[in-house]
This record gives sequence, C-alpha cells and structure tokens, in this order.
Amino acid sequence: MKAKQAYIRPEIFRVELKPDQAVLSACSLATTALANGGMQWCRTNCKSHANMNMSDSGARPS
Amino acid sequence: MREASAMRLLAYRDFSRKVHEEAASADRVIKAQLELTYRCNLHCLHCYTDPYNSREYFPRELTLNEILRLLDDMAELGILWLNLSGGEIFTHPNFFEIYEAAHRKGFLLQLYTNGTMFTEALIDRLKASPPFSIDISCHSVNEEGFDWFTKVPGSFKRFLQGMELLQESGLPFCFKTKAMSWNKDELPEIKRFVESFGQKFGYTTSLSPRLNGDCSSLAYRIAPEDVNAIEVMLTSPEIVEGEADDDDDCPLAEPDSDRLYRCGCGTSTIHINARGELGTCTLQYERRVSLRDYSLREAIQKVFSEVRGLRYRTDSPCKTCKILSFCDKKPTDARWEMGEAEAPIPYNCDVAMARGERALQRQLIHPLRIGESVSRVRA
Repeated sequence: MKAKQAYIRPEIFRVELKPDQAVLSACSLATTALANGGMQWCRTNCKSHANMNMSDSGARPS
Repeated sequence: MREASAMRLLAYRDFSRKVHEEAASADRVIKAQLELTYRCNLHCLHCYTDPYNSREYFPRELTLNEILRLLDDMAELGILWLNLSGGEIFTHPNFFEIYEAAHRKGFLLQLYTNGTMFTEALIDRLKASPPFSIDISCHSVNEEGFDWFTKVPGSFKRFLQGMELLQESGLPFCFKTKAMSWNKDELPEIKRFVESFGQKFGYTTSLSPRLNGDCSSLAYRIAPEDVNAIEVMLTSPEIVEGEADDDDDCPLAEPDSDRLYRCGCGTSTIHINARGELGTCTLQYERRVSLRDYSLREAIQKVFSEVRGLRYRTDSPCKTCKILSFCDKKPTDARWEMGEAEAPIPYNCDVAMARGERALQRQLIHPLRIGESVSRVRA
C-alpha cells in the first residue's frame, strides 16, 4: 500500500521580475542554442539566459 | 491578507525554473507567442512575415474580439508568459487595448518590436503597465545599411530615437541580431552598440524561408565557415565553459528516436499566427489548426499529438545524424527549400559540421558523405 505523503503547507512567495535571470527551456528548436558548443538543451534542462542566441523560433527566455 | 514585505522572496530564476519543471512533468502549456498582425512599417529583406505585410491580406487576420477571447482562453489554461509579436506590434490599430487586457490578466508580457515606433506617449503608456521584457531587432548600426535592409529611408534615425527614449524610460529591454552575409563585418560594431546600452549581445545565424515559401531570404545566409568564425569571435568563453560543466550529455550521439521533431515542439509552448492558426513553434508549419474552427484546448490537443507523432518515414540522413545537436534544421524550412520536410538542408549540414568540429576539436564525417566514407573503408 502506498504510504501517505506528508502534508506540506502551501507558501506564498514574493518574486521580483528580472528578465536577466530568465531561463531558457522548452526549446522548440533544440539546436538554436547549440551554436555555443553543442550541449543538449531540453525542456527539463533549463539554462541561463546569458549569452544565448536570440532567434525567431525556438527557445525563448522566460 | 499578508503584507508583501512579510513574504519570503524567491529569486526569479528559481521561480521560473520551478514553473518550467512543473509544467514539463504535468505536460502543461505555460508559454505562448501570439502574432498580432503581419502589418509592419518596415520591409526587412529577410523577414518571414513580410510577404503578408500588404493591405489585401489584413482582412484575414484575427479581429480584436477574437484576440481578446484568446487571451481569456490562454489565461484559463494557465499560460504565464505571453510573447506579442508581429509584423510590428505597434502598427496594430488596437495594440494597447490588447496589451492592457493581457496585462490585467497577469501575463508576463514579452514584446518583439523593431524599435522604430517608440514615442514618449507610447512609452508612458507602457510604463503604466510594464512588460516583462522588450526585444528589439538590431541588424545594423549604420544608416545606409539599416535603411537599405528595411527598405524604408529614415528608419535608422527613428530606431536611434526610439532606443534613446527606451533607455531613458527604465523599461526592461534587450537587443537581438541576425548575423547575415551583408552585416557580418559590422557585427563587432553592433556588439559595441548593444553593450553601450548596458545590454548583452545576443545573435543568431539562422534564417528561414518566408511564410509563403519564398526562399529569397536565404540569400543573406552567412557562409558556413564564417558562421564558425563569428561564433568564435562573439561567444564569450567564460559562459560556454560554465554551461558545459553542468551537462553530461555527449553532443555526438545517434538520435534516440525517429521523431521528425526531437525538440520541445508540442510540450509547453504554443504559437498562434496572425490568422489564428495554432502551431507549436513560430516556424513550424507541418501541422496547424485554425482557432476559428477549434477551441484553444482542442487545438492544442490535436496539434501537439500530431506533431509528436510525426516520424521520419524515409532514410533521410537526418534520421540517424550524429551531429544533430549542432544543426539548425527545421522541417518546414526543409520542405520549402528542399521540397520535403525530412530532407537534409545541405547548408545546415555544413554549419553543423563546422560547429561540431570546433566544439569537439576533431574531424567529423560530413552527414551527407557518410556513405562515401564507409565505401572508402571497405575498399
């Protein structure tokens, strides 16, 4: 039988919107950012916005 | 209600990462790009939407009511990041009605613009409901080149005025540049210009055919050897090293599936064009559904499932290509340029080879010449 999970009380956080901290994910064009060295980008492998290639399609920092 | 100051602060990067990870595990859409219109005050030579930037096409575009209804639907689905794009967004006759409605709904708004239409009044209105970010296209910083490329005399002057106003406003913005054959020698100057605004220089070398299939935009591509030289010249090494450290994936590996789209297409992002056709990415036109025929939820379900289901049915070299992770190929580009979405685009193969050899510091076999190499070894 599956053990009951402990209840975690929800918490509300304050978030300051900082585009320079945006992460790159959900890459619709997996290769857009690979120009920088051939690393695999994928939807669960968020990366820093810094120095990314900017394109019409594909990953957009968010 | 708790005071905002009493709440714990979560860094934006952690917040964003958490939202993305939760969306990925729950298969939830959190990002949308909405092309408000194909209207634009410029006619850039590489632009994929410009063929439809003409009066006879505007009646087919989404109406204000249709857009407002889509905003409701997107909010209901839990979409958080909304990118408004065009054409030129500020040429839309109801831009602020749409923008302010979207802002009230709580979307984090990302605006794409060519930067030539900023006025004090426009900026004041944006400041009243600030966007999350504004991305400005910047393909030249000299008047002759800029105005030639946009086909609009005086556009460079208006761009510069716009950037001064934007800088003074304190609104968050950044630049994006397409590195092309005609501006490649100007890139260091563009980089300096961008950095003079305190911004990081971001660029891409990828160009696509236009939405009507016209491939004339590809004439501005940089030669593959120049792509490599530019990437070496403009990429800051400390960042690349930092990213490489936390990644175990080998960039040289045969694809683990025969899916036509091995990227994130059909997962957490939607694209809606100016005619209300939903897709998974700006330049994905293999599968689209009209939001005039389907609800947003139904359209997502249909298009995502179809795009995820697309497979290589031929023995295209792309199916088993080991340098895929260096390649810019998009199936719809291949369909326009090569006549078949599965076909390799030789230009992209050359660029991927050059990037791969640079990154791995060794010779690779060109994906279109693998058969020849095998024959040589056997002989």
